[in-house]
Amino acid sequence: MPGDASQIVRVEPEEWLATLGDALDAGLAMFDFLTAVDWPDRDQVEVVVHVLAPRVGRLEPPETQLGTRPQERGSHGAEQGEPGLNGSRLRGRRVHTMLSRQDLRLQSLTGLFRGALWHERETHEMFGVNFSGHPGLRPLLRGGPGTPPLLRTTPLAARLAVRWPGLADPADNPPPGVTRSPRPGSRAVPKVPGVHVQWEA
Amino acid sequence: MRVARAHGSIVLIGDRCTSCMICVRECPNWCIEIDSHQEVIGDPTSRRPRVGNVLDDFRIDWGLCMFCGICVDACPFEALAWRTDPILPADSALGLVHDMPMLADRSGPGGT
Repeated sequence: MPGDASQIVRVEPEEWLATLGDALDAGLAMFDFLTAVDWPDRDQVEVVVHVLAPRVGRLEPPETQLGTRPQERGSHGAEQGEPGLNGSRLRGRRVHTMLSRQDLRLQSLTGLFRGALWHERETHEMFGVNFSGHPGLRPLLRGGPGTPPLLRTTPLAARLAVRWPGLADPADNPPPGVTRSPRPGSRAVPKVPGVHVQWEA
Repeated sequence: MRVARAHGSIVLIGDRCTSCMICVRECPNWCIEIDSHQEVIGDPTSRRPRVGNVLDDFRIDWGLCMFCGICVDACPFEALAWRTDPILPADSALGLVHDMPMLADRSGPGGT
């Protein structure tokens, strides 16, 4: 994301909760967002969370932010800031982990960050990730059956209901009397954009 | 007061279009449709007559278009161009499907 100079950490799913616990201990107490990205070619779903150090007061120097335990400061190395609202620099950390598409389970962060409640519900509904320890993974929008809509392998009904206009070709309507016998394979079959291969199966 | 919009709508310059289908196939939102056929060009009695594409209709569904401009960039013949006029509202979804005469209308302010 533009202007994002947060520290980026990639961890195994087992280290998820401990990594975010360390971040909270380091003063990164402001939950920004949690979401996921589907990588069907790698058979993985990536979960990402971003936390920030809250900035309290305009004049407060960054070394004395609330929530920072002085004895732990610096134990995570120098963190670059990112631009804040009024030109200040905010400390942030973005944590990524990769889950197997066959085992979409992760520990809930709701015990650390209350803000994760809504985001984990959304990520559960949209990507099918199960967050153990979440108090209630109720769907936000849809409910009902069906595969999670933001997994790329979930068919998009609007793409299946309509014929792709790119299949048309002027050569389909040749002039009368002119018969062309194209060599087999001479006309490239265009790739349909926005349709995952698994939909057609 | 008129607000200038660089990306208000897209105009079709029909006599440049060769019905090559590139814009239709590049559009991520499937909002362009082309009707076309082929005709014999030049001497029809030649042993192997030359054949060219003829554009019959060109439609953009402004209800689907996200104004990304990929079609404008992709067109090798500069037959599509931005114009500043916005798309006017319609009373049905079908009314947002503009055909070739509507897309070619460059009479309004901001026309090319």
